[in-house]
Amino acid sequence: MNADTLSRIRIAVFGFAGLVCLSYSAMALAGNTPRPFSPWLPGASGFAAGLVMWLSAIKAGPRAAGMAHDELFWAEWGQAIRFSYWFSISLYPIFGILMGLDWIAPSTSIAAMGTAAGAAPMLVFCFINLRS
Amino acid sequence: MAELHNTLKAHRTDKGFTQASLAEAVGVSRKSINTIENRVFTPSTLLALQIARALECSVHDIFYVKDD
Repeated sequence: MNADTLSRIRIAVFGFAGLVCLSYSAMALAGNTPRPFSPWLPGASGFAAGLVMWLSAIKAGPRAAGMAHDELFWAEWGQAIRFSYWFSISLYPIFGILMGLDWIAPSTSIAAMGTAAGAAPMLVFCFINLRS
Repeated sequence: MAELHNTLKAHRTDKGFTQASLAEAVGVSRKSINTIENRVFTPSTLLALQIARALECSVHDIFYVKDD
């Protein structure tokens, strides 16, 4: 297993975990329910993503893992984190308005905001990485 | 505005490196070499020096500033 394979695995697991979180958020909003499906799934998908990456890095060895996590990766991850920070901050006034208008329940807001904030860095990283 | 340009692809092919083999020699991903060549990614000073060392030339031979 080389650095390119590790990078592809990273995109796949980030994309998968990000989509699970985004789906949870979108379905919570659409159904106005804090529990559109098992609330363990977003967290479990994130944990599984980390586990798969960790095991893959061990299998590939320290040199390949270091090559896959080079300065380009950290630059792109940094961009994703910066965007996600402001995205997550912006959710507060948006959901505040929605709750103020009684369009969604506070419990639904917490579920949707939390999973959307969790999905953002992973999906934005995938977008930046696949675009470059 | 000054922009960083490079002749990395020409130097790399002159020395018989592929993107993958240069990445292996420097210890970064192939994509890093690709994005540097395409001016999508600006490498750190350390990486620029490592690339120059792998290609047995000066960093100034590969990277230069161009005023547009």
